[in-house]
Formats: sequence, structure tokens, C-alpha cells
Amino acid sequence: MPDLVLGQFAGVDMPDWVDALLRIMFIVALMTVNAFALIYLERKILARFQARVGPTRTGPIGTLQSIADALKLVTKEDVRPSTADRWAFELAPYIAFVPVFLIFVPMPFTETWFIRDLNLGLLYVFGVLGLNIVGVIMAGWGSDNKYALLGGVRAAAQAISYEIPMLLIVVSVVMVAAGRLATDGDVSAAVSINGIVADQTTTPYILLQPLGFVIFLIGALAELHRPPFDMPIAESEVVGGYFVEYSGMRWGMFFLAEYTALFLIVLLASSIFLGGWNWPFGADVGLGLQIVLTLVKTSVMIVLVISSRALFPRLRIDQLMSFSWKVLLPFAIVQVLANGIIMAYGGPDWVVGLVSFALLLALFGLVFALTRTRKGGDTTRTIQTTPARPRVITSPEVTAVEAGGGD
Amino acid sequence: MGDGVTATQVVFWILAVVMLVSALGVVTAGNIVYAALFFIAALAGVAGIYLILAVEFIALVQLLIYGSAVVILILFALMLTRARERPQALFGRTRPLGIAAAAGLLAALIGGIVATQWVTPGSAADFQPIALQQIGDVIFTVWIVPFIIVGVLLSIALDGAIMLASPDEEE
Amino acid sequence: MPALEHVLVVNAVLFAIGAMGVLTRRNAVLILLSVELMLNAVSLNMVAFAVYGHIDFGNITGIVFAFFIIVIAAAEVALALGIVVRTFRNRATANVDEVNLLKW
Repeated sequence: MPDLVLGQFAGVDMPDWVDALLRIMFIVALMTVNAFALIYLERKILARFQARVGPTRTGPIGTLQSIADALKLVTKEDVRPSTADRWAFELAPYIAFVPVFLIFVPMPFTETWFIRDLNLGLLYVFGVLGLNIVGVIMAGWGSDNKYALLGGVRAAAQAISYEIPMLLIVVSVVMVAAGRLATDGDVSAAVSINGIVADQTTTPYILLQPLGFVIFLIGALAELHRPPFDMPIAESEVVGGYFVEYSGMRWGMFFLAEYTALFLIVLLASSIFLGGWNWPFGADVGLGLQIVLTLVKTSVMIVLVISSRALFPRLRIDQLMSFSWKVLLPFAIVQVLANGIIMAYGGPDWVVGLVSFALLLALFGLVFALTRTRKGGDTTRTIQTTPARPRVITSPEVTAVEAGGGD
Repeated sequence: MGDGVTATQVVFWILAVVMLVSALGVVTAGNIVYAALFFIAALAGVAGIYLILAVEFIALVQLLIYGSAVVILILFALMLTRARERPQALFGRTRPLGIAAAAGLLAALIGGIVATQWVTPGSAADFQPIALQQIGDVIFTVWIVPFIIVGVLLSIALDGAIMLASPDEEE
Repeated sequence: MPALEHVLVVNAVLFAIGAMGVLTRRNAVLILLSVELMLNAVSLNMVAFAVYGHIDFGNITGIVFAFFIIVIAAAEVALALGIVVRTFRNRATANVDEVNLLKW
């Protein structure tokens, strides 16, 4: 399978460095257009949910609004607080942005269009995405602002908590892929994203791993700080979170990173669960239709993610963490175990799908039961321990009074 | 491998210098958060060298476990243990002694490396990247018992960490 | 491919830098960081031996070792940081010289 995306596309022989440069330019262009489009789309969709019409003034039906926003950002003064840590503050936007940029590499747009088909593409995506958090924490710490620090620490805690169920789900997907590929004798494509997509010509993996799809989507929302998991950047709690002190293009970098990550994670989800460039259930379509299929699937997922901002109530930060560690993580582990047991005993694919679907129903049931008991204002049930206080040595009587008071 | 310096070797030396300078930053930085940030750069350098040695799997595991999880934990610990009342001493009184001991260790190690007659590895044509499948085969057959023990150890250690770090029940 | 000796020398320097950190730093978290540097040097060494050795000896045990070292380092960091945070709560210091309650 040739991997020379642009060289092959143009049908021209070119030196390696021209090829590399073209690929980078392709990524940059795609990233910019994507951010503009997503910002416009998000504003329009949210406006519809709130019975407004959204931007209408700039350009036909407001389509140039994002460009106007970008111009405003670029021309804005770049301010650094005088007490901020210089190096951490100024480097943070780039360190947050570069990993997201790197995730483009293994993403398949069609059967032959990708920057590079990495053998360990799935692992690569998560390994690189994790570095993004370092930039976020640097921004939070370097701003010398309590809200920024809180936002940064929240973002880091949330990211490492939701990364674990997501990774376990990726493991279960790889298991399914390896099991299916093993019939051909070559399992080495099971960790490559394009290999996984290529295996979904007849069956999209969402049918085999419905629980995986749901957990992956929830984890993606949390990783991207999208509502209802937007605690790190919640205006009402931490006045914008880790980038509260940023302005101008540095702030724009965080924004660009966020929207690019949204596009990429959603593209990844549509690749490994919805079959990427495949027409569902068979039928080999041409190159042109493959890219349309990829984009349609991705767009549907993007609309889903943006809608969730308007559709779901937000959580509290402790509920957010509990949900990952006490609900998603056990379900993800059970999913991996179930896949392993079924496949070890040679169970067919439909059993894998059925068990996953049963687990998904159990997850929904559990969430439903948990949220029901919280009705009637009994919010204390969810807080098992009192929030951690700075420890001071108190006399027993004072402690007793405090404990009686409760929070 | 040839006689001339290949591009891979140049990249290796660049990575090595970045890694070692960052490592020096970790042990000499005056600001503890800077030390942690230098640590990330050093880890990235190590991951890069893994890539040079063509073991992508270990490089990615390094990024995934060290690069995100361990670093975040360390930054959390730094922020939780920052003494606000008084600046903490970053170095002890025995600093010169420590530097001397480390220099001695370095001399001994390099002396050992130089003095040893290494078996020359096969030619570059023989060189084959080690596939994930090979590693998996070995881990799940030869090393399966250590693998299980490591898993158990990991869960026990994490339980212990939670026990240690969780606040006392005030009764 | 760089020569095996070059990789080993780089790792030796990294190990010595880590050792220097352990010997000179007094903050518990920074000592832990230095220990991690030393562990990294060791696992890099293991991988180097495996990569160069498997051509002649067909043995990739070093890579498995590096994998185990990374996993155990994660466990060790979690546990050690738990201890550090705990000590800080009780003694308001992360300096290892001041944690001398058991010292005669």
C-alpha cells in the first residue's frame, strides 16, 4: 500500500523533503479550515438549541464570523502578567499545541490518504495526546493565578482519569481486530488505525463493541474538556481555567489545539468504531467516495459532540472523577475480560457484540439508578468524604464540633 | 553501518545532548517546577533514543506512562508539598561530596565501557526492528509469571498509595 | 544506528547525573525524580543490549526488562509520592533531612 499521499495524488515524483513539506502544509491548512468551520458550526448549533439564530452579520449567513474572530485575535495585544513565570507562561501554548498537531500523522482519510501509516498508530495517538496535559499544567502554574492553577490541575486530573478507561477500550478494540485478523494469519495490522479501518468493510466495530463506543465517546468529551465535562475551563467556577491569563494569539493557540483535538479524536472514533472510509456492509467504493464517507461520519459525530453541550446538565468535579474511576473503569475492565474469555473459547463475533451490548445496557441501567436516587435534594449521598482541608492540629473538642457541622 | 556518519547517528547525538542537558537541569535547577519540566524533556529524549533504536513500542509506552501519568503525579506532589512559610533547602551541605561521588561513578562506568571488548553486532543489513508481536510473544510465554506478579504488585502499590494519600477519617 | 559503545556512554552519563541528583538534592520529590533518571538510564541500557544483541543472539529479554522497569517505576512513583504527601501533612516538610523522627 503506497503511503505517498500527496506525491501519489498529484502523480508527480518529488524529493522527500518536498513531499514532507507538502504534507505539513496540508495538515496546517486542514487544521485552520477545520477550526474556522467548527467555531462557526458550534455557534450556529448552540444558537438553534437556545432558540437564537447565531452569527448572521459577517458574510452570507455569518459564515465569515470565524475569520473576523481570528483577525481580532491576531491583532490583539499579547499580555503577560508581571508576576507570571516567564518561561512556563510563554512556552505553554506551544507545548499544548504541538502534540495535537502530531496526532494527524496516523489518521486515515481514505484507504491510501494518510501522512504515515504507523504500525502502532493507536498507541501513538494516546502517547502523544498525553503530552498535551503538560502544556496545560504549565499554563496553569505559570500564570500565577489561583483560578488558572485550579483549572490546570483539574484538567490534568480529569485527563489522566479518563485516559485509563479510553485506553482499556482501545485494548478491547485491538483484541477484536486481532481476533478477526488472525483468521488471515497476520495480526500486525491490529494496532494500526488504517488496519482496523480496513477490517471493517463488512462490520463496523460499533456493532461488536457498542459499550466501547459509548465509553470512548464519554472519555473523548472529558479529554476535550467539552461540556458536560468542562470543569477545567468552566467560566462559572474557575473563570475560564488554565488560559484565563492568556490573550491574543497565545490564547488562540489553546483554542486551535482544542478544536483540532476535537476533530482528530472524533475522526479516530469514527475510524475505529464506525468504519472510517468504508461504506457500511460491503461495497467497495472509490477513492472520492471514501473521503466523503470519512467526512460525513466525522461530521455526524462532531454534531453529536457539540449538541451534548446543550443537551446534558453539567457534573460537579468530584462526581466527574467518581464517574470515571467507579463506573467507566470497571465497565471497561469487564469489557476487556469478556472479550478475552469469549475469544479464548473461540466464540463468534456476534457473541462479542451481544455481550458488549448487554454491558452497555447494564451501564445505562446503573447510571439511571444512580441519578434517580439523587432526586429530592439529597446531594450529600454523592460526597463520601468531606473535602480535604489543609491539615491543622486541632484539639479534640474542635474536631468534634467541626465534624458535627458537616459541609 | 558504513564508515561515514549517518543521519541516524546525528539525530542520536542531538537527542543525547538534549537528554543529558535536561537531566543536568533536573538535578541543578533552582526552581522545583523547572526541575520537573526538565524531567519531561529528559524523558522525551529517552523516548527519542528508543525510537532511534527502533523499539517503537517501548518509546510509546515511555511517553504514555512516564510522559503523562508519572509527570502529572510528580507535578501534583510538588504543588501539594510546596512550603509557603519558608523556602526549602534544595541542596544539602554534602553537595560537593555528592558531586565528587557521582563523578567517580561516571569515571568507573566509562572506564568499564571503554575497557570491555564488545562483541561487534551484525552489519546494518542484518538489523531488523523488533516487532510488537515478538515482544508480546515473549512476554506472554517466557515471562508470563513475572508479568502476572507485576500486575499484582501494581494493584497493591496503587491501593497502598490511595491508603497513604487519602485524608484521615476524623472521628 | 549509533555504535553500542556510544549508547552505553550516554546512558552512563545519564546514570551518573541521576546519582548526583540523589546525592545532592534534599527535597524528597526531587530525589525521586533523580531516581527515575537512573531507572531510565538502566532501561535504556537494557534496550540497547537487546537491540544490538538480538542480531547475534536472537534474544530480546532486554526489551521485556525495560517494559517491566517502566511499569514498576509507575507503581513506585505512586507509592513514593503517597509517602511524601503523607509526610508533608504530618511534618510540613518535604526535606528528607528534616524527617528524622526515628533517628536516635
